[in-house]
Amino acid sequence: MPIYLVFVVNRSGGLIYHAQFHGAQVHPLNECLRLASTLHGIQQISRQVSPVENADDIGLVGLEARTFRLRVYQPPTGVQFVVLATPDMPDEVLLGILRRLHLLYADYALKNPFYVQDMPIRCRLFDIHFAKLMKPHIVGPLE
Amino acid sequence: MSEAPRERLQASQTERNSSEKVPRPVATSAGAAANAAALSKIGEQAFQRGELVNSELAALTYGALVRQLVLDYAHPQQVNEQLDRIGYNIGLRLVDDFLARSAAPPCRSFAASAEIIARVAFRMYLGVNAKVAHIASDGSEYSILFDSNPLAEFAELPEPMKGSLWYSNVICGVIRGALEMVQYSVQARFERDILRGDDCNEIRVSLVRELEERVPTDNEI
Repeated sequence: MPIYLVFVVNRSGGLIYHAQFHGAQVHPLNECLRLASTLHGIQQISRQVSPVENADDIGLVGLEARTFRLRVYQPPTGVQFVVLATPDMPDEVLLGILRRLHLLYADYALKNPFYVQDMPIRCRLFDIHFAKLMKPHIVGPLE
Repeated sequence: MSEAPRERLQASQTERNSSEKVPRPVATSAGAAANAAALSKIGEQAFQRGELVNSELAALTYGALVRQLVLDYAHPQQVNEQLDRIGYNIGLRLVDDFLARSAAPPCRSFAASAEIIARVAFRMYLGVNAKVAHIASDGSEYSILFDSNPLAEFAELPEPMKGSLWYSNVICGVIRGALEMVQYSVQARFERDILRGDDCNEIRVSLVRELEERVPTDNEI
């Protein structure tokens, strides 16, 4: 039950971090950017069509298909953490991973004084801890 | 503990037991007191969970920063502005740390953010207990009161600056930056400061506007 792909999408729909793992179809970077901004658009639409005003978790939370499960976690700051995994992966596990990812983002990207907010994450410590976080859930790194 | 050194320490931490489950309090007017107590508990837990930095070190580092700003800028008013700017930039980034770590319930309104800031955030980052007071009737303004201020533990204001320098103005900036990231544009300013001889510290937070992006419902082209 591996994870295929991880995205971090910023407030304006830009892809700021992505990782693809073994076992899935590989998308070139441009396609990743397009997918991320499309997802952001869907997220915005789903928030607007929500019939419930002012609830906690309005918006797109996940997407289930026969061959994959997509889980989105969006804290109130608007950044989105997205993971794509096999359908047998339990939702709690995916949400746990995304919450941990949020913590890593806060610790190793935002607290890095040389990281500019909303820009692609190129922080070595983030990479290291991200790899640690993903290790139990992937078949093998691709990139 | 000031935010900056604490941040660095937290950044060096890798593994943390964040699986603790905190019961989410229900926000009803009848249960307001219970709610505040529950929030205090969340704040206390977050404080215990976080890595702590020596408060004397933080107070002295912050003091050195303010001293340098006083030397660099001619008017204490400008020092206030600079401290606010520093705080603002900290707040923009720190809010994600708060959301990821604090396990605080989500704010449904601007007024609800008051208790969260006072009970959870102040406890978590500064280790002090703060309370909310003077809430405006329309809920667009509130004050945060706190008695002890770890940043100003060893400070004394020289006489000429007593009326103009807000020593801990960085906290106002942090509040402003953090709330802006969650779609509330606010003004935050000190009203009272123990350093100036007042009986407690008071920060006044007032809502400027909500930043929520909304698509106009009518078909204007």
